[in-house]
Amino acid sequence: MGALFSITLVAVTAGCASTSQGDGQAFRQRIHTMALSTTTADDVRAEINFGRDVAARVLGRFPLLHDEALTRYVSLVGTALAVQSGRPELSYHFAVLDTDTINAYSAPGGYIFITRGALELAQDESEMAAVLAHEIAHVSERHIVNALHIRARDTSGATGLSKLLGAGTDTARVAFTQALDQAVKILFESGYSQQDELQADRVATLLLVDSGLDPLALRRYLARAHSRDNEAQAINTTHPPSAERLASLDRLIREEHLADLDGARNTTRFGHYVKAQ
Amino acid sequence: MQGRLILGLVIALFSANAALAETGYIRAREARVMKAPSAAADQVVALHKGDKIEIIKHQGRWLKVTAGQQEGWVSSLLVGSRPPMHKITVLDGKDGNSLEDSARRRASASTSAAAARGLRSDERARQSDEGVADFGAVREMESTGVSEDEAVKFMGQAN
Repeated sequence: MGALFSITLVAVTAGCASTSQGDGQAFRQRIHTMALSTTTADDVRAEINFGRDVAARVLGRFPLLHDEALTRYVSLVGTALAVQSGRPELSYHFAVLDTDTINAYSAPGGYIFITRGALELAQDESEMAAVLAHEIAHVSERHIVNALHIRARDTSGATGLSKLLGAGTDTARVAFTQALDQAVKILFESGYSQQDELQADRVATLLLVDSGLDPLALRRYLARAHSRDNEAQAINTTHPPSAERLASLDRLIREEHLADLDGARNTTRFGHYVKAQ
Repeated sequence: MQGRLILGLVIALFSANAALAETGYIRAREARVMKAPSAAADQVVALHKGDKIEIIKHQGRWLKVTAGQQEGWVSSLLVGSRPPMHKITVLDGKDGNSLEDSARRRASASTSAAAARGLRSDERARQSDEGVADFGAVREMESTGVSEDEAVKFMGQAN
């Protein structure tokens, strides 16, 4: 477990270092590209299988909402976003969790969850898409994968999970379970690093642009979520303070002139599928 | 003699530029190449997944690129340094055991019986203090996917 902790610390430190580069976003983007350039098909399989276990934990905590039409609608919008996210090797899966809690989750490999409460807070399709895009960004930027160093094999001297399992020892299996617990802890307790959260917000907003949706939707949704009385119950526990997220999005919107764009909100069909619930 | 010198310099400059150019590949389904580094700029051309580009310059999140005879700016979020991989799936009827399987494939013949036995997903869950796992719900989630083509078509029908 000590090895996993040290690996995580390296990842977090690298993320913090990026803010000192002046253009932090561009620096992170180069890191992203470099990481992808060394990713193998076995790494992706390891990521999906690990993510599948994380997804099972999410679904062990919250039940699926059994509404075929709504789930299909969320999947259509989510998949249209995911194809623009730069991870074409992944098949994304979407689900609605049957809980009033306002939140969303993602597991490595492309498992995306949005709660019924989060859907009800959205006022149009672009806002729902913004929440999904934020979670897709955690997957496309490999935030948990990088934090826990989930790779099929590793040449850097650190210990990949598959190598641990290949050792076939009880210690190795415990290490896998501990990594799984750590991923679940990120989702439900500690949250991602602030750097990762802010990056996911920025990537999500740009994903909306590339998908023809309203690029102001995430900013609008977050402002509404954080103004609610019950924010302390959910979003605040695993996300950075709202003021920082909103300020970061304001900078992006200003720098990229996103307010000048005419993205779709698709309010009518959103009302048909979601508000009719 | 002077003409040869100029020609040599031109070739040297051309070679230097070619050496500096960086090759990239479109990783998104579609990438709009813009006239300026801005989402609000006019579109030059649309590229598609797997298309090869030459990267001339980095500016923030934007890359100045050439693709064929076209030149413009594309978001670096849509570009990778290697061609995109084919779709990878582990949904071959197994219950999340492929991670161990792939590890075992690489293991030597002396792999212990314990490694060959592996650990089922539900067993992993029982070993944890962090709650239950529902793989049946995961399979249900995986079975309700939509195709990329129908998702893109749906998104194009804005209303």
